[in-house]
Amino acid sequence: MSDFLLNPFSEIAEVSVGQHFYWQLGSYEVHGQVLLVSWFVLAVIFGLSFVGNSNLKSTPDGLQNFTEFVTEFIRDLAKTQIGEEEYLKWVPYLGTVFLFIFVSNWSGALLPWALIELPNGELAAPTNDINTTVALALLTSISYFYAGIRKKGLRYFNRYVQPAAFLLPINVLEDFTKPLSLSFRLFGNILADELVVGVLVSLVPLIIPIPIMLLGCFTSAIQALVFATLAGAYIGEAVEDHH
Amino acid sequence: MVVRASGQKQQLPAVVKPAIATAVANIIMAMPAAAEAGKLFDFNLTLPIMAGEILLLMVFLEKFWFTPVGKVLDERDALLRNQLGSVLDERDALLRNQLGSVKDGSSELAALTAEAEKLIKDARSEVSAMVNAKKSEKQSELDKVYNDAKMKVTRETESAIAAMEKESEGLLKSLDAQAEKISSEVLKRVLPEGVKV
Repeated sequence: MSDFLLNPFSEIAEVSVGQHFYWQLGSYEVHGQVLLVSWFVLAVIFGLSFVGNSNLKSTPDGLQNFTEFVTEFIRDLAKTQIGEEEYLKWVPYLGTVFLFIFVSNWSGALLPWALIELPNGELAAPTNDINTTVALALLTSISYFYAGIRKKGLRYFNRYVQPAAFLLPINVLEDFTKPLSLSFRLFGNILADELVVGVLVSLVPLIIPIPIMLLGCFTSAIQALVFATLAGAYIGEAVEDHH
Repeated sequence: MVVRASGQKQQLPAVVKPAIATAVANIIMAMPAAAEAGKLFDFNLTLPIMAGEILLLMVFLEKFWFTPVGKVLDERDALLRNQLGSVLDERDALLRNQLGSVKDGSSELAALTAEAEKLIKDARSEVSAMVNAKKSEKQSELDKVYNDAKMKVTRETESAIAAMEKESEGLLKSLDAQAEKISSEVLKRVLPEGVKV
């Protein structure tokens, strides 16, 4: 390639796929860029919580409005998916999942992480790493098993032969496809979004990528909502009464 | 489960097929061509660490976000419900009071009506008493006049009768005397002289 074709923005518009900033932890490796951004996300949520909830009043002001809005939103979601009786127990889990994914996605979409250079790989939303999404999906699987067994005991496993015994393989398969689809949906959406934005920025660095970036913000929010809603739906399915 | 993502390098230009050649060149420049082949599905210790972080976040959020904020929401809900209930109760009481006063008004109205009726009755009875009094007064006056007249007439009649009786007595007396005189005359003429009656 000739030099004049070199995009002056190629430094910040660089797309690195599958590059990781490895840390060595004993004999194990971890993805440093994911952990760094996830700590940032945790710090943001902790900060929000401290600022919003440190002085709760019956007449809300400032950030308390926001935290109350989020709480009511999650409660509504949980009530719709899980049902009137059980939903309150699952509000913290669904709220955590929603907030973590939402803040992760938006930090990836809005913050110019590429300005901070790493030796290898780049900082991005933690949710564009398969480890994070699989962790979330596995926690969701554990959650709905726990919810079902706690509610029904061993009768929970009756649902594998519902509505007919020959559906047993499909029902067993569902327990694998659920976390798989959950994790890959989130991972794929966020990674694809970052790739599309990266590619577009490398093509036309100004103005043109903005609609795609806005779409990215929208997708990010929707993915957080979808993940939380599906987690709630799976838990609700596990605790619902069959006759 | 490690999938090499080097395939991405051949696929991405296909994604931007309509782009012009410069664009394609730029993308290739932008791709991590020089770096070692990336791993998209690189599972390692990051997964349990992330799970732990999420659980930690959940414990934290339950303690400092969803439980206290939920409590505030529930308390406000209860407070509003209570206030709404008390306001409704107050309104009910007010309405009931007003209804009661309306009822009182009707009894007042009845009292007023009764009073008015009584007044009318009193006035009527007074008037009728007055009328009766006048009537009886006139009657007694008339009676008196009538009695006086009657008495006068009776007295006059009596005196007239008495006078007539006196007159007739005198007349009778004179008649007797005349009759005696006439009879003695007759006797004198009839009977011989010297016969004594």
